Amino acid sequence: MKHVMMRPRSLFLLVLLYGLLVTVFDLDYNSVFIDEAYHITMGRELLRGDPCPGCPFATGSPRIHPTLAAIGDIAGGIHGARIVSLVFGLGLTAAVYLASTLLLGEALGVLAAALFIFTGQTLYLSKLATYDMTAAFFLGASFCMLVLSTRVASERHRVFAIVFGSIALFIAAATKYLLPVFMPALGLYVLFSHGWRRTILYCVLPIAALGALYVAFEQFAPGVIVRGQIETYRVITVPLKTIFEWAFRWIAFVLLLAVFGVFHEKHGKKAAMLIALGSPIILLHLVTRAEQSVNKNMIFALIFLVPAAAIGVDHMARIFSSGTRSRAVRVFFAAAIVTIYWAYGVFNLKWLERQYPDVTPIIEFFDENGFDGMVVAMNGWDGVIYEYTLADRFPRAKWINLRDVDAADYPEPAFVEHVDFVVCEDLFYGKITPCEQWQEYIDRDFALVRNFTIEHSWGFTDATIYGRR
Amino acid sequence: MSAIVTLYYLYWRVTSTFNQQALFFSWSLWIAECFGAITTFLFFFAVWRPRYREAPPAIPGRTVDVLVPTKNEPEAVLRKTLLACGDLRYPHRTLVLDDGNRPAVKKLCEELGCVYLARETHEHAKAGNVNFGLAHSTAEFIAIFDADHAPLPWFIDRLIGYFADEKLAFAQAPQEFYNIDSFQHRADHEKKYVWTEQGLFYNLIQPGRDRWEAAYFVGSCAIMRRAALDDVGGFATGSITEDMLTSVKIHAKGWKSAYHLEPLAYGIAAETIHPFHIQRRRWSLGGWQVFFTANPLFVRGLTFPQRLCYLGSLIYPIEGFQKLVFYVTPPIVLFTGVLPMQALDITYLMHFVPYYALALFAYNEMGRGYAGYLLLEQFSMGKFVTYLQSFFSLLLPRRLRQFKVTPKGEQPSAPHALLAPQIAVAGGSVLGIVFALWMLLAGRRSDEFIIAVNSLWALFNSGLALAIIVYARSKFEQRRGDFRLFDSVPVRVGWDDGGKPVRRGAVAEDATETGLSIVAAGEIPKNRDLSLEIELPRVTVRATGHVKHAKTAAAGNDVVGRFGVAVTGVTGELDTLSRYLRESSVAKFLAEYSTRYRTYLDKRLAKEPERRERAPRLPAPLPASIAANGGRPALGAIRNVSDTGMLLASREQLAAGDRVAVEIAFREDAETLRGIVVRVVERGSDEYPEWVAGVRFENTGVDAINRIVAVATALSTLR
Repeated sequence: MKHVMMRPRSLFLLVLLYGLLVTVFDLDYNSVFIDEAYHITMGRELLRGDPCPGCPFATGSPRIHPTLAAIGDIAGGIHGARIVSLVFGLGLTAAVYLASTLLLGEALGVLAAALFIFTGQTLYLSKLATYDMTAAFFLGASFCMLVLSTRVASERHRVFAIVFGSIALFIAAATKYLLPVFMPALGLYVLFSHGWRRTILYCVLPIAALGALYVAFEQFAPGVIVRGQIETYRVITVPLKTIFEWAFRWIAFVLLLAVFGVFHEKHGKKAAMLIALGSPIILLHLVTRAEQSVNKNMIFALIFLVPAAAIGVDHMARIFSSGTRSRAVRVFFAAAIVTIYWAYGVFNLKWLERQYPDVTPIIEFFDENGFDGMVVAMNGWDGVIYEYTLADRFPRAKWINLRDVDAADYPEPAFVEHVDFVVCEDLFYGKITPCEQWQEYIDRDFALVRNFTIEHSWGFTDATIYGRR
Repeated sequence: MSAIVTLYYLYWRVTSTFNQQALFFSWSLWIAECFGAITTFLFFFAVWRPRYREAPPAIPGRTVDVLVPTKNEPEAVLRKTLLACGDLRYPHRTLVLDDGNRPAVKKLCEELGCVYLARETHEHAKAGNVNFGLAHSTAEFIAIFDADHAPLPWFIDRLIGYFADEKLAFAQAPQEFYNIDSFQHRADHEKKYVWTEQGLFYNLIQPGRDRWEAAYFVGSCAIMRRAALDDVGGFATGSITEDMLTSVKIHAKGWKSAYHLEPLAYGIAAETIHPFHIQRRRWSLGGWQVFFTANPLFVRGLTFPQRLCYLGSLIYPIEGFQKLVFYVTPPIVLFTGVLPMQALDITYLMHFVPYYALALFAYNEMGRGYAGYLLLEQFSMGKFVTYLQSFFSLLLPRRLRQFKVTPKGEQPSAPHALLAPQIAVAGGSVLGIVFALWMLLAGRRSDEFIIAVNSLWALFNSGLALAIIVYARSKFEQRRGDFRLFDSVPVRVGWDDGGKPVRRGAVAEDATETGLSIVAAGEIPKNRDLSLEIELPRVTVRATGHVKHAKTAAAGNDVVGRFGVAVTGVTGELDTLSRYLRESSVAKFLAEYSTRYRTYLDKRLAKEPERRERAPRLPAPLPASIAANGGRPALGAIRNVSDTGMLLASREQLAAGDRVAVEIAFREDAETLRGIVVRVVERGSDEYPEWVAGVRFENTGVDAINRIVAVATALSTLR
């Protein structure tokens, strides 16, 4: 019988195909998430040329991703917007593959790509129309360029690779203002690989030039947005032990494999370097104790940790095969570890898909019982979800926060504006402003219309809709 | 540092991590971890400063009796040992103590000039047999060898000098084994590295214990002072491991011991898992017996370090229980979701990973390159049920605890049932992984990290089990009864080709008394009676044989072949061949293998980089006529060749700087390679000297080099 061996490149294409199929057939996994709705709404306004002063504060992504998401939305609704992330997700997988192949060889490159696509966060963020995957792609591309710069023979190509890497890092940072946190680590990589002149070329020159242009021409001053985000982080801080557990929950397995990689005879030092490169975002969360987006932000660490984990898998497979010289045995054990990782990733993916409320029942309620021009007040800031979802059906409907209509200082309890429906959801979007504080007005002027129980991966929440009496 | 971290980890485990809902499970795992820590500490203590002794000059004029206890070992095996005993240079008498009462052995003793002694009753197994021998000995010193352990001629000369110290009771040499394809060896023939399960004990633990005056007698390959034995009432009979019990008694009486780390005798290691299992079961049962009857913690007269060293050697069978816990824990967690700790989270890993990594690092470094953690784990997997059985057999009446001699030198076979525990571990682990992953994917479990970590642990355990199963099975169907010793012995092969005598030069690349594997530049016919002239240094052994299997390959116009030759009769001196194989081949062969690997610190602190080959070398065992500095050509062999040089095995002395002309005879013509000797190593023995020389080509045409490289390449396809 002819012995058939698949070439690594074919395996890589299979990995991409897996990511594509798993994602593209499950774009309806949940109702629109608040950040998705913000991004797309903002993108639409940007495309129309309208200013959108509130959007940058809420999203931290002034232009790049919202515009792309809105284009996707125009082409295919929320599916189109999510497919934009899928494209970046697959592109990022390719960047991880390329960087790992250049660093570690083709077999480990494919292994890294497989681990990356099997990671729950990768697949989840590949179908979440937020800026995370876009930013991650450019960060990955920057790293890939840096690795490429150490491999190309021509001096000119080396400089090009570094400059392109710098530009990619700039775009990543302009997409999500959090990402300059990686610059010191990547700068050190360039310093150790190329010396201080190229480090300046990577870290200073293009980024300073592009940054100056950006600040000069950007209509939403980045400084204000960053300050706003820092304020938000200050509000949403948790104890160190909690943030420790939350942060490591998303990287624990990959980090465990990566630590094994450090003991790899041939690539151990590279594994250590990759762990160090991936650590800034983890340290940032631990130092600030900010829980906001911790699960999503770990994707940036994974770009570096996954190749280290691939080294770890190779090392573990050697250990598990008890020193046998048989390649087949090693491949078997590597495949077994990857299978465990895959199941772990699928579980995490399912968890992530249900971490945010599926508000489909609320949307369906308004679809059936709402009317154009209605005013719906809610105790969270999730009105943008309904605005986005029901805009075509009720273009004049208003979705506002209860605080915006609160008339507590009036002589008698009332809303300052006519409100047709009140939506109370106290455990997720409305957890900072529970409905309790308006319960008196609500009981007086409204009647309970519908009560929903929303199932999450972490428990249940209630959503209650009141209609005017 | 590792010890401190380990103590902290164990303290943290017991105070902060126990699962109150599964206390038995929690305690079991913790106790197993504690046992690991205790054995590791005892190991660190024993090997802290190993003592490597230089042999003192022999003291002349003493009387030595060599005792060889035997029961059911094959006569061929015993013959080799007795021949070797006869070759011992120091004046001695050889006493064969036959507990098998075999007439053939009696006849053999008469032939070889040994004293034959046989008991009528066989109480106290080997110890009783040796005591019986003692009763017939009047010598001042007793050398003792197992029936399969053949000493080198200088064995007594190297050890007897230690007895200048009147307080020295025994001098022990390591038990070396030449059959490196045995169950307890793992050989990498490409890297020329061999690991043996007992390597750590003989190369490090015994020298370490020697520092504490606690090296112990291992039942063979030792010389003992008769007065010391008399002082403790002869060989101890309270345990089936009489050697350790005797050592405890001797040390308790204040006698000293010496461990001399030099291969002075070679034996046969357990070939398959079956004899290995019997041997280890006997040792561990004996260990338990010593533990309960002469516990070194309580025996009077031992020093504190001696007590700790003996404790380390006695408690190791508890490892059976420890490993059982380690092997069943992952499947239990995977099947039930019950943890032996409160949580398996990042906090736990942040304690466990540094502790474990540091402990492994420390163990590896303290193992001085003999430890081989993974292989030791593999053998622990192979032995854990053996140890458990030995413990439970303690509960049996004494008459049911039979003393079984380790079967050696027989066509190996092994019952598959011995592998049932490993199959159970592998099967249980894999099923546990599949079950837990299925539960996870079905949404019935949400402890994903616990499942992931325990799956990796279970996978590790199944890897160990599979390695044992695969290796043991590969030994079940071993083709050859005898291990063939790799060598480069020139052989002249002759046969009758239709009335025309043909002679061809060849090289035997491995040999036993019953067969050779030879390489020749040309064909050798099958089914033809062959005459063989095996050219040993200084002597030629003539034999007859026939080709049993042949493989040939073309290299340009040349043909090379590898032929398996069965020796049907030795017309000359068979014992000479045996003697050569034992004295020269074994030492030369084993000298090529490293038994020690470089630890991390070795690599970091090494002042000189590892020697690297200038060019890739191809084995080319070809007969050659070697002439040095224009002198008379002598028969030798090429070992390997590259495009820049070659390695020669010469029977004539060579020195660095010599210019050599090496002629290789092919079927039609001959090729001469010239070069300069760049380094020489003397191998072999006094009686069978040999020089291995590295030669760099000079004044040799490219065509000639290409031809020999092509032949070597063709030969490499015949493996």
